[in-house]
Amino acid sequence: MSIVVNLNTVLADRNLKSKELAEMIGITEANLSILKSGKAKAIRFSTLEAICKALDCQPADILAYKKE
Amino acid sequence: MKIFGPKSLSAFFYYIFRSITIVLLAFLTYMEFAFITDRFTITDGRFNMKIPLTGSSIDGNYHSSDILTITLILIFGILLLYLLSNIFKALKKTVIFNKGIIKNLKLLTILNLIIGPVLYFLIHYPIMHKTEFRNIHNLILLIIFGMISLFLTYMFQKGFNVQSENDLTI
Repeated sequence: MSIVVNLNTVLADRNLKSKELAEMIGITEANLSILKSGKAKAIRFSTLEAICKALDCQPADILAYKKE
Repeated sequence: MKIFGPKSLSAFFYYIFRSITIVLLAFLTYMEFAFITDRFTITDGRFNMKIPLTGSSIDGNYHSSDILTITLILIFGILLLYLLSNIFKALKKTVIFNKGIIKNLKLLTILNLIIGPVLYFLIHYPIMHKTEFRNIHNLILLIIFGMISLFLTYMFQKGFNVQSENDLTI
């Protein structure tokens, strides 16, 4: 997929672990792992909002478009 | 009563069809064993075979073509019922759009649209040497069941894709 999820980079910048983020936004670690690995087919606005709120960032910091 | 999922109508049909499959398989095994070991009587060119535990018996023309026909029809019936029981087993799960049901519906389609008609013509001409074309309703029923299962296969395939996309929406 040409949409890249940069969640690992944002998490590293904020010294946060996946488990902590999953707890903060109320999703399972398994689902967060699917999102990080790029296997997810779609992301809900509510999930994106929760991530942005928890990490204090913009959607563009997490998602990027890369030409294949 | 629930239609799908555990403790549902699907679960009930699964046990019914699986039980009939086992009984038919046991019956076929016994019949073949009885033919091999001569555990039957022949009167006026007809065989008579006692069915244990039931007190009843089966009889028919004692010709290899008749015995082969009975065997082939029983094998076909066992396969059909086994696949039906597998389909209901898959519908017993919480998520009904699963790979198991698609696989079994595909096999049911092949059984009804290919194996069934081939068996029908095989029994009709090379085995029984019939000259007239009779019992065509069996062939029509096979094709109707085959077409229904073909459409169901693609419906469940679509459902599986939608389910997968939904599961991968975070």
